[in-house]
Amino acid sequence: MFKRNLLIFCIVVLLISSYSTSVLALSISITGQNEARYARGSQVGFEDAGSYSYFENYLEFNLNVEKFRFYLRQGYQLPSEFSDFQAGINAYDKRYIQYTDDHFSIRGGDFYDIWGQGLLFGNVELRELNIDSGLEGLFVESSFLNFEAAAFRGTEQDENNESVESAEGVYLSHDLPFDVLLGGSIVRLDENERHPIILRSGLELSYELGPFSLYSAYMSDELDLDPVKYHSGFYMNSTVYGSGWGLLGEYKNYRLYTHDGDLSLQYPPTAIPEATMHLLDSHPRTVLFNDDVGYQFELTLSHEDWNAILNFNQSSEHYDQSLIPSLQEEMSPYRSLFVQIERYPYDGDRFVLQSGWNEDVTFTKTATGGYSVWYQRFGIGGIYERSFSEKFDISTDMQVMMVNNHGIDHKYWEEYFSVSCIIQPNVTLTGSIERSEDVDEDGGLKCKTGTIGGEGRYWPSMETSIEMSQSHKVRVFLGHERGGLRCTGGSCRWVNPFKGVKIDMISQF
Amino acid sequence: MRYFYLILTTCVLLTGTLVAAGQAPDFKLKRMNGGEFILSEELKKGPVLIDFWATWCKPCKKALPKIEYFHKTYADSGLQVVTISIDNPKSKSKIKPFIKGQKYTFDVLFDSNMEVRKLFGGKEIPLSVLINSDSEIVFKHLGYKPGDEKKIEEEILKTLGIGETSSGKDTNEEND
Repeated sequence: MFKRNLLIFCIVVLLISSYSTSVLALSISITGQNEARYARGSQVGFEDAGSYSYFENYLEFNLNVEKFRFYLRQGYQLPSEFSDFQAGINAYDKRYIQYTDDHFSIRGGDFYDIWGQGLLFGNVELRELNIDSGLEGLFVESSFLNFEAAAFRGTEQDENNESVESAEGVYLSHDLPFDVLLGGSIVRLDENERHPIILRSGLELSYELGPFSLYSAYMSDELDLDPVKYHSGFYMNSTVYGSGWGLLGEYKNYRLYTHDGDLSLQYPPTAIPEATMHLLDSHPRTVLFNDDVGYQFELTLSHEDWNAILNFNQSSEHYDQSLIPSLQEEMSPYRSLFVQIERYPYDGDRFVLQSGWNEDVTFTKTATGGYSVWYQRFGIGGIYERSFSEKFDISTDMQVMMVNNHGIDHKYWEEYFSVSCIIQPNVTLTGSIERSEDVDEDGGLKCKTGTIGGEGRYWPSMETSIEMSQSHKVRVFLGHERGGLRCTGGSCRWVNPFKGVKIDMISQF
Repeated sequence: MRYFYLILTTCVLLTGTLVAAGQAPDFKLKRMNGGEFILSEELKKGPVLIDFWATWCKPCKKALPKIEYFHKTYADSGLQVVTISIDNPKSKSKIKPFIKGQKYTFDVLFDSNMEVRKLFGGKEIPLSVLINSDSEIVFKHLGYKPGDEKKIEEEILKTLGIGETSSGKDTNEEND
């Protein structure tokens, strides 16, 4: 049945393409991409020790005919790097049909959207974290006068294509005078096993006055329990800028409903910095959305070829309803400071100096009181890029980080060094090595001499990236890959250490 | 048997692509500074260079000064430069202070749920797309490494009908 549908679909696409362009002279475009990923090697430590391999392929394309859009993605996961095993061509992974005109659009099929910066409603696909809260159903959007409206009804499906959650919602916003925007939404989530029926209502307000802007959003979940239970969240940010500088301030106060640590169709801001230094990013903070209060400030400066970023943030739990983050150990506090200074002339060497510090405490309650996992980290590093000729560029990245694990009173070092040779126009060769004296680390190779005399492990690797043409790109990785937590936007996945080869190929058309 | 269907699907899609390849899909997005950007409307004024980026993407941020250079250098020749940020709610609030702090003057559009990015195939960034005024995609480049700006500039000059790279111009000027 599936194969027949696939064949019919392909023929229809071909016929539409040919007929539309040659006979009807319609405006038509097709774009797409194929991504193939392969690995063979082994993983060590933890549960999934032993040989390890995957092969997955994603073919997707968009067909646009006048005001209609068709989207299809077909995936094979034998298995996927990120979990699922689907033998053979099992399904149209994602697909939709959409009609759009100047003030109205309607879509049938898979859809993702975000309301109120993800606090009021948000469903996303993060393949690298094995997260997909996409809904399948009907989605309608419209804008008229100074109003914007959206509504949906859909179901979320698990990997066996069985419906696990149904949801429906409506959103309305209005542009008021003096650059004020007021929006509100109501969402109903209905699921039989994972959680009770949730009725979520939310409001958002934004205001702009010249270089100053303010945004805030509030939502409340009403859980259909006896007695009724409530969860809520508040988020706000403010930005201001001048000539050559910009300042961001963010504040969060979350008591969101979570099921096994997962949010239900929400994707709110974390107010925690990401993408700072490689070593600091290797130890991300896990956000506890069900009990989290905090703020973040980020200052951006630039002057001629120089620019700088200064970031400070603090967060904690707040059992006592506090409006500001606490530094008490029982509140699992987190603080970080990050500074980056960069010199980047249009034609010349690029130089970046980075330094960051953080303190990360995770407190776990027990019958006798509780215990903490408490880390302090301080890292410093630099990136230098130089063009030696029109055909040859070099980029180096060197970092060192001191870690203090208070729980076992263990101080140790981590180091990272990478060098990339760019052979213009199409080849990049990168060699990198990462080393840690953390006693909990696994995988890699053992080394006996550490910076402060301790035993450690190191993970050497080589990577080649080749642009075979404008549309085809291949990346080959060979060596050891460090394990650990990989996080995007507060959502995390544990990755085991890996040894072997990985090949990715992307073709665009 | 399934491989037969795999090959068949690929062949049909590629054939379909050949029939209608090169046309840019139309889209509408909100501008950071207010108002809406509709690609088909902008293309009436001239070629458009689109650059997809995000505040958390390091190679994207490395490419932005080059994008700003194209914006300043070729605006008078009719090139319109827009960047599309795919920052999600976690980082969307960082866009404006970052752009203003860096003194970038190009147009910034918001594509928080990556709908427009997916229209061009995949969701990797940075991605640069050059579209001529006939709505044809004349150049598409995924990723950024030092030196890539030369390829993009060559394509811009070809599209604008100037036909000489800036380095070529410099050489000529020096020879003169």
